[in-house]
Amino acid sequence: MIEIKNLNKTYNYGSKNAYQALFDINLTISDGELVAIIGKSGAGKSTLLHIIGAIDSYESGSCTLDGVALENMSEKELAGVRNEKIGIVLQDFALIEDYTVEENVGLPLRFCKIKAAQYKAKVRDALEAVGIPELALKEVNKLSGGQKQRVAIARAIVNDPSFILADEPTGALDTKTGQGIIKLLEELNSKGRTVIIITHDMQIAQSCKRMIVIEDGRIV
Amino acid sequence: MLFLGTSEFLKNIKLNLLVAVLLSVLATALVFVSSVIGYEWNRYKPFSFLENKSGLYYFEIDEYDDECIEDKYYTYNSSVFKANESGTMSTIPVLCIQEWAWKNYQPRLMYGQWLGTSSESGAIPIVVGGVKADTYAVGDVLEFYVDDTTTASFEVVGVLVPKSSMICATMKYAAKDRDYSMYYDVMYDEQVFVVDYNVAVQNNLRVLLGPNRIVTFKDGYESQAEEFSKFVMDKTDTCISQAEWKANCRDLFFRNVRTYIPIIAIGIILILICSYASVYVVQAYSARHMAIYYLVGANQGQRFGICMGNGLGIVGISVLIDAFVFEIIALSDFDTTGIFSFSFQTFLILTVFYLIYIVIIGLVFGGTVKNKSPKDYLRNNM
Repeated sequence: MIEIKNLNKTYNYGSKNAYQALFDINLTISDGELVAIIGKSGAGKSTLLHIIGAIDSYESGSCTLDGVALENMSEKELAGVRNEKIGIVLQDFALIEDYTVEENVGLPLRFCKIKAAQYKAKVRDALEAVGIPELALKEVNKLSGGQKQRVAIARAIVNDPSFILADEPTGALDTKTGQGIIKLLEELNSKGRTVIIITHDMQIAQSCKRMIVIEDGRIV
Repeated sequence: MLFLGTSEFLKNIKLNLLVAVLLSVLATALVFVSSVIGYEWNRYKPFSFLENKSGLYYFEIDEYDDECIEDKYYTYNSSVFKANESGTMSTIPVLCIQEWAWKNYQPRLMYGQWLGTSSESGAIPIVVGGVKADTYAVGDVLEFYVDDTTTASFEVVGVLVPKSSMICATMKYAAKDRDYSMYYDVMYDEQVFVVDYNVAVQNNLRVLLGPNRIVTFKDGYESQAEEFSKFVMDKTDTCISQAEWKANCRDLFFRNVRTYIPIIAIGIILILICSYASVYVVQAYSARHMAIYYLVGANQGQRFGICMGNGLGIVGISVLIDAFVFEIIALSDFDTTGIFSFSFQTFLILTVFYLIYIVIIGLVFGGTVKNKSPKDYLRNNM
């Protein structure tokens, strides 16, 4: 479960060009939910996702994942959270282009203690879950946009995280391919994973079970 | 993580090779610039903080007569010294010492690590500089004419044989453009000790060939030095005080370095261009990669390990390129100046340089390892 209480986030906090992106956010997302966070560009939705994803810090309030408060964690512990509890999918796929699909998907496993045999099995399972096991040995730079996003999703689930955070996962894809990706995320949600999708596309948001709207850094 | 870094290195091999070549050029330029300055520094040691020993005496002695060298004879205050038939020659300060020792017959002047044995045997070690390489073998006898009728003989008891291009170049470096490459330490009691140049330097023995030949006495031998000083003073008008010598050295250092300004300027421009280009190329992909590693949960230590693995690969390649280039230079006759040589100091400089560069590469890659950078990259670019 994700619990956010009275959370405020200000970029360049304490400096002259400080900019507050989130104001007093209160939010609870239960396990297994499929949630869309929508809002205009600059509304603060990506900032919120970065905070839930243990990427960014905040100056006040709290954010807990499965009862563990992120604000009390060291950088190393936060890296562990990103590695084990959260899978993140980004608009530009965030893949290493020169690596093969298999190598990209296996990246999170490199940073946790896992045996070689498990590594192969987990990568294979993740690729099968997103429907591209045949692409395992292909270099990412030879794939289409839709295939790349599936690789990114496979990487996000390879370590079996509790939460999948997707920031504009269809933003770089055509409508049909985008629909396939959303369907895939829905499938993952149906298997019990909590999925949070950041989008400005109302159609995608409406396909989710719950919709949270952010405007000017506030939930409305 | 170093393994993952190596993988990263191999995956980006084309870009990394480009960076390695840039680093090699950078290293060459840096070595060149530092060699020029280091060479002149060694010749004159212009600043006193390197000469913080007391009791040193310095003498500057006039240029020898080139014509005399051609004739294999040397003039020194109306005395004529003749080199042996192999064409060997001694430089003026050497002859000066030799003559002094010869005339006094009671050896007093001693150097370096032979001080103990020399004192016991009452022997006098004399430095004979500027002997052509491979002129002598152990057992050969050196014969010097002190005047038209008197000779002194010294048996060679050891010969310094260049063991590698490094030593060879070190000698070349010391002798600059002259074709001399050995330093002999001659005992007056008919013994010749061969002195490794580095050992001689370590023992504060500096009879440098060149415009300014300098004889240095170690601490604790002031009386002998003074005796020698008097002798030299009687013989020449060019003896100078320590203060004058230092001032002169400073002047010579800056004057000589100034003559290399175009070379140094080109070197510095190359250093700047190559530094910027290598950093730019590396950053072009490393910032993104590090952000991705951050995203999937690599902690700071793990990301640094990847950086170092990649950086070591690049530096390793660039070291190989440089070693190859420098070895070719050292083994060829290309280096006529003696500056671009593999001296021990150059090796040290190179080693230190590469250590520094590994750190710089680590920082370049590791710039994104800092907590803030991957976050910024993620926020702004992904």
